[in-house]
Amino acid sequence: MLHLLSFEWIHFRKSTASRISIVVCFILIGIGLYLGNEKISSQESTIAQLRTSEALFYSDKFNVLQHIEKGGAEPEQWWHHPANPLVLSEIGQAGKYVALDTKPLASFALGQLDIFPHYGKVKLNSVEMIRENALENPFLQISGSFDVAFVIVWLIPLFVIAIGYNIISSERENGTFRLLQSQPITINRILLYKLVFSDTFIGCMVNYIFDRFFQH
Amino acid sequence: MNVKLIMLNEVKTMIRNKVVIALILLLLSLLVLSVLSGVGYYNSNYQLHNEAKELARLQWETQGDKNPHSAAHYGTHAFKPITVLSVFDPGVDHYTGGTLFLEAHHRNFAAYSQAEDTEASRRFAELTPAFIFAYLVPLFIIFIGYRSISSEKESGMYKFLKSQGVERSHILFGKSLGLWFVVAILVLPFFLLGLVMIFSSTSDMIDIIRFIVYCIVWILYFGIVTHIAIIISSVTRNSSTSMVVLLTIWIISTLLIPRMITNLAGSFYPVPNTNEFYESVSNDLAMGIDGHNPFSEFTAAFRDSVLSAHGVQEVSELPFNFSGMMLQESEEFEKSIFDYHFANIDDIHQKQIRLLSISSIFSPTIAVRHASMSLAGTDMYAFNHFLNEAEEYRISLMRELNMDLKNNAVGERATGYTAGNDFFARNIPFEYHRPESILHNSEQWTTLYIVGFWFSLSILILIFVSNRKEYS
Repeated sequence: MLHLLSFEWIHFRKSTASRISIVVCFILIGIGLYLGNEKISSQESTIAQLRTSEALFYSDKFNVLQHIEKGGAEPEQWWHHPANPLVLSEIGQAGKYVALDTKPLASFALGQLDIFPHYGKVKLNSVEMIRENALENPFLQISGSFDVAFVIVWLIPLFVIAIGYNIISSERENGTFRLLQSQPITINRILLYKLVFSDTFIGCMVNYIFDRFFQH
Repeated sequence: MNVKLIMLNEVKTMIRNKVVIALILLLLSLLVLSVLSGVGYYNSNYQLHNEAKELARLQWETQGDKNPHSAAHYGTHAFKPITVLSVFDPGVDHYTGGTLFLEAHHRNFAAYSQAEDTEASRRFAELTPAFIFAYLVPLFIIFIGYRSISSEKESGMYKFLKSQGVERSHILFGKSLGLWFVVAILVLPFFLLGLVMIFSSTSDMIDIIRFIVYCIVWILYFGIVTHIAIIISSVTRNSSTSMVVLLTIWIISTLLIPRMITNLAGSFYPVPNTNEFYESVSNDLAMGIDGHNPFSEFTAAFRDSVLSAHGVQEVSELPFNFSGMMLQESEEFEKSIFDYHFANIDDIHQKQIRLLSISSIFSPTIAVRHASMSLAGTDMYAFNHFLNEAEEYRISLMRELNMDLKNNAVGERATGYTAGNDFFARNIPFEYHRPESILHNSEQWTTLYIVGFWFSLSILILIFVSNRKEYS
């Protein structure tokens, strides 16, 4: 078996198509990871920014309140008075942000992230989902995102086909099929080893790429 | 002469091939199906649009006695009409909202896009003529054309032809004309059907011209694909290599580059997030007059300037209602702020689209999709045009309301002034019309030029390949 696999390996190494496929696969997955990551990190920074602005608003009000309790001057207008519940829950920037935190695997499959709002604001008498996508260029939304899921679902199968489409027929074209048939081992067994080789190879490759990513 | 013979031969062999006929029938039925569903969508949407528009107007006209500025706050809605040509290419229509809420002091985003109600798989394949033309017809051309030259070589026919004195260029051009002809058999009946449909549903001459240009653009695109198929088939060693190379080109041009470039464009030129956007808008708004805050320094300065211009001491001594005037003043200031910020966003969008235009040098599919959307009136520029018209309408409606308050709420009627239904019925209605030209800006024309550029490039390469010496 190892003998056969080693032949397969030599065969594989010599073929330009497979070498090109591997390099291109690496590049595509890399781009997918980069773009997915970019999107998710911008989402995370948006959420962090919202949390800080919310914290700033309430700490500001808290400071004013402490100032008043210590005998400081009260604000002239009622809509600035921190003791007023409306000021803390409805007027101006008051309100709590609710956000859909990013999931660890989100950067692999962005899905409808660019369509649906992922944060909103809760106020005394309203919940507004903030339309994050409203400023987005609709032309960019048509084609969907280039993420790892896209590479896996649409592109890798094509490379698998490109590498494996002639697994038996090439033997026939080269005239080596007869040679194989005359071997003591059956064709089915050879086919099985060929499949074992290509499956392990693709498995290892995908695994390797993802491992590299998770180390970062 | 040779060219014609080869072309006729090519067409005959194709027509005799049952698989080709089956594929043509399949694609034709898909096209008809897509148009039927498009027409259904168009009709229901058209009706919905008219109903919503009438309802919004009715609500406006019968809102009863109200202070005109209260009416401005309650607001009204503008709806984007659907174009007849959107049946052939819905473009970005599903991704942009079709409803715009118009109110005082604030420019809103268009809301309720269809994409929010559909699932992710729709992004890849939507059964529309544009999708079939951009993705499936090229596959069909590749399928019928990948072996047009290489099979002649494999069967030994090629050498035979050349020994008869047929030149390489005759074979290549004859074959590509033959392929074109087969594609024309597929799409021409559909285009004629579409023309009849448009004739029957609209009296607008410009739409018919747009549809004809739309057909020409797609036929050019099929020509590009045909030429590429012939070129690859003649330069590759055997049919299977030719198939693999052509499919790779198809993947790169239709799947890879469009997705990759759109994502890159999004990260090179990021749009600010909505929250940030509103924060910078409200920061700028705080730097000017606010019609609802009599205590702000800007309001006080404006009041003093008006008082001194009229030579009076008190607001109540003015010959008109001061708050009406102030509201209009702040409305216009706010509009200038919103205009500035929205123009910035537009600028970012322009840059993104420019990057896409540049990338269409690698993928004719991007250019042709742009061009077809622009012609159908479903691209981003068409949407922005609607938004700008609606914004212009909003400001003129607000002016009417505020001027009514300014001119009529005087004297005894100054406090508790209300306008009635007769006034609201006289307010201008919103009527949106698409610009009366085939395409309304140079960016859209550029996409047409790019398609033309690709077409001539493919012919040049075909000529180059056919003049090259062969060693076989």
